Amino acid sequence: MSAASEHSGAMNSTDQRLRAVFREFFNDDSIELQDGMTFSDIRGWDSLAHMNLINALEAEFGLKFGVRELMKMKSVGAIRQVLTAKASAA
Amino acid sequence: MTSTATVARAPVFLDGLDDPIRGALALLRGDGVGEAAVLLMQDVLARHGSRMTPRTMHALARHAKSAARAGDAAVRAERIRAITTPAAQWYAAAMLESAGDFQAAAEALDAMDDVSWGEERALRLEALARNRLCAGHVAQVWLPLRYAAQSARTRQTLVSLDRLLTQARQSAEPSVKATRRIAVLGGGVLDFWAGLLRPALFGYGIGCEVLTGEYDQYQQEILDPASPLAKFRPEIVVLAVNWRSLGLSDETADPANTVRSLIDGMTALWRTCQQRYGAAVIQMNFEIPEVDPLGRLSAASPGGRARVIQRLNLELWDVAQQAGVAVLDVEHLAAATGKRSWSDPGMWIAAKQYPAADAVPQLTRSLAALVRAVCGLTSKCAVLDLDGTLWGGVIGEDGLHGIRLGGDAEGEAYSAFHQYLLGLRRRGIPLAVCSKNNEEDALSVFRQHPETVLKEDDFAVLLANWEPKPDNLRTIAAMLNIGLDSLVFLDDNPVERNLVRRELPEVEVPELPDDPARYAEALHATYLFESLSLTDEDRRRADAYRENAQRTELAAGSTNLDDYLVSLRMKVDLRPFDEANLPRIVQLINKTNQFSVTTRRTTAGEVTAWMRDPAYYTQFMRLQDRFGDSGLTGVMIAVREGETLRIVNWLMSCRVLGRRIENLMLASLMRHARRAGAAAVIGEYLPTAKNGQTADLFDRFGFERIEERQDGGRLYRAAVPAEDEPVTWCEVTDTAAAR
Repeated sequence: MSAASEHSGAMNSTDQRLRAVFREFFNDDSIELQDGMTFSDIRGWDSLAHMNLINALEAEFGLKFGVRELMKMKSVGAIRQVLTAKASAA
Repeated sequence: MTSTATVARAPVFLDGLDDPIRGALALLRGDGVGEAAVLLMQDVLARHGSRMTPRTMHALARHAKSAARAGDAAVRAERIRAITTPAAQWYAAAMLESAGDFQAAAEALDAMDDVSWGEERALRLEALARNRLCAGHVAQVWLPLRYAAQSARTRQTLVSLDRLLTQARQSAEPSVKATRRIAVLGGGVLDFWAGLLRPALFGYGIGCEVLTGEYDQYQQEILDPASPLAKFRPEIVVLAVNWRSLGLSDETADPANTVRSLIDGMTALWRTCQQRYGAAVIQMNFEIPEVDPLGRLSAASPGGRARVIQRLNLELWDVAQQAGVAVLDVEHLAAATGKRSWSDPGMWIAAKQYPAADAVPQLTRSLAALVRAVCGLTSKCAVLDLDGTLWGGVIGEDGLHGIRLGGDAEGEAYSAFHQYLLGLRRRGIPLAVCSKNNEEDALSVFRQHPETVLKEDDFAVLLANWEPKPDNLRTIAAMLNIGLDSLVFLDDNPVERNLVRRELPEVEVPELPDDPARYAEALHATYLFESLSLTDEDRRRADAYRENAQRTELAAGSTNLDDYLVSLRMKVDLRPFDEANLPRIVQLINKTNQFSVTTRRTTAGEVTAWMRDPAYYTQFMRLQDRFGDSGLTGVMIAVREGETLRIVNWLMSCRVLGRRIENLMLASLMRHARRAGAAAVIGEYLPTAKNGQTADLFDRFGFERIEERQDGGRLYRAAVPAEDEPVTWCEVTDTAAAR
């Protein structure tokens, strides 16, 4: 395991927190997130797990998602977009 | 990389933030490795680490995890551990865990100051349990896990605890007071919360299997004999239907009929659950939604939704009581949580979640408490510390006029707590005192303080001495003749609380907040005294415990049991079951644990059926003596099977034991058997963790053992005697035998 990849600086803080939530949630420290990833790309990501994940994201980022956002958030990229938009609006 | 220059200026900047620790973590991003970063963390943890919010704890744990990847985590963790604040200990433990040193992580977590409560406490105990599990000490996982489940305030944490519980159960089974198969059926996506009943119940020391119903399929699931529900054989069915499924319009044209048909629909389902599965039923009542087009007039208009739901809820209490169904008061929970937090319209529309994620712990905890009551495990006695718990200050130092009780705001807060406790006493929860004090100092408050609400007579047992509290708690349990696990111990001092938890894990020891104005609320929110019904016997019970203490004194002065029994001047009334006493009979059957030969639980429906069935002999026992009326405290049920009468249930409340009442109850059955022409009586003993005192009951009455099973269960037989033995030591009226 190299320390360098951890601190490459390429990821911003939202990305890091998002990846940390995914890793904790799916209990897999090897998860690396890419925008195109959806339900089929991570083992255990089904519709119930999705609601739990949304719940975990709300807790981590201290916010609540509205219906429009909930509808969008079906892929990693979309989740990242919503989070970034919310963060810059706050 | 964070520059040393940024870090050097950081403390001044961080001091101005609401949460300096999270500020520091944001400044460091992923970096916890460089010397400057370590110094910054040390500084901020030392100066701001005495309190942490749950979010800070999560952020610290995550940062520690990434920092630990860089190697020599153990060395850095040791440096952090030298800082004594809770935040530093937490951070160090997370580093040790990430480095794989679970043993050291568990030690750090165990040594953390235990002044936190609520979610913070839950997170710490969850981490402690997790590290102990990873270190292979599964036997030491259960207690922190249980306490964490009691404290958890977020759905997230309950989810983690559920996983941890499942994981731990792969290597060992925890000891629990009861296990139940529970089906949760109703509307909405129940998977969102139903499984979390597992950790919530584990918080009360109860194990369970949970079956979750499909969205709005509960009618089919209950009625279809081939459904997964039937295969599951539920012992408890929870009907979790929310107000939306009622299909009420803004104004209902015929509210009376609408309410009637809704109630009829529910009672039909209850009956099927009770009769087909022999299951106890818990029905949730209905939230009155905050948002309504009629506004406040929804409650004023006869057909308004709010008014119809109010009416439905009111009716539900009565119908459910008659049917032996327990109601979970969701309307009250929603109001207590705040209706805007209780449900989340977006999550309902998008994912059919009800209630909102943040309200789930409230729901699962109160539901678990009701399941606990259904299992007959309601706590029975509140044991109170004195200084700091029942008044402000220390009576031994401040004196009668120095302590805070009544008078100023702090004193009034304690008076209000007295009032709440007095209310518990009136509904039948005896109070006891367990305090480190001189007895005369303690008594002086209850006898002489002008503002004390609680008086000496309000306590069943009052132990103020210098013995260790665990010893005194054992004495209190013995004097009241109840199990240690029926005690709830309240103490403002966290050190005493932990001492009792360590020595006597059976005793429930709720957390108390700093502010005495919130003691009653904290005690209420544990739901430890949640029970299924309130009978006249309950209201008298606290007195009964006092009277028992007086009887104990009389016994000490008598030379033999006969003299003592005669001096009590007892009147025993044995009667067949009747409608008027039905709720108390069902309650007694469902909660008696010690003097109980079979401990078979029942429902109001089943008892009603026995009452009407001529094959059944039913008897309840009432007892009075010179000290008071003990009320309905014994039950016997037998069924005619050919030439014999078989005893199905025989039990007595522990507060009337040792007075030979069992002889009278059995004599009535024998009289009945003789009149009915039966040749013999069959007795059965089914062992449980608590009914050891009836293990040789039938042997003592000269029954012959006819079958001994592997599980310790036994069948007995006794011929019906030709005549009664005379009773000289009390007055008996028996109308049960003639039935």
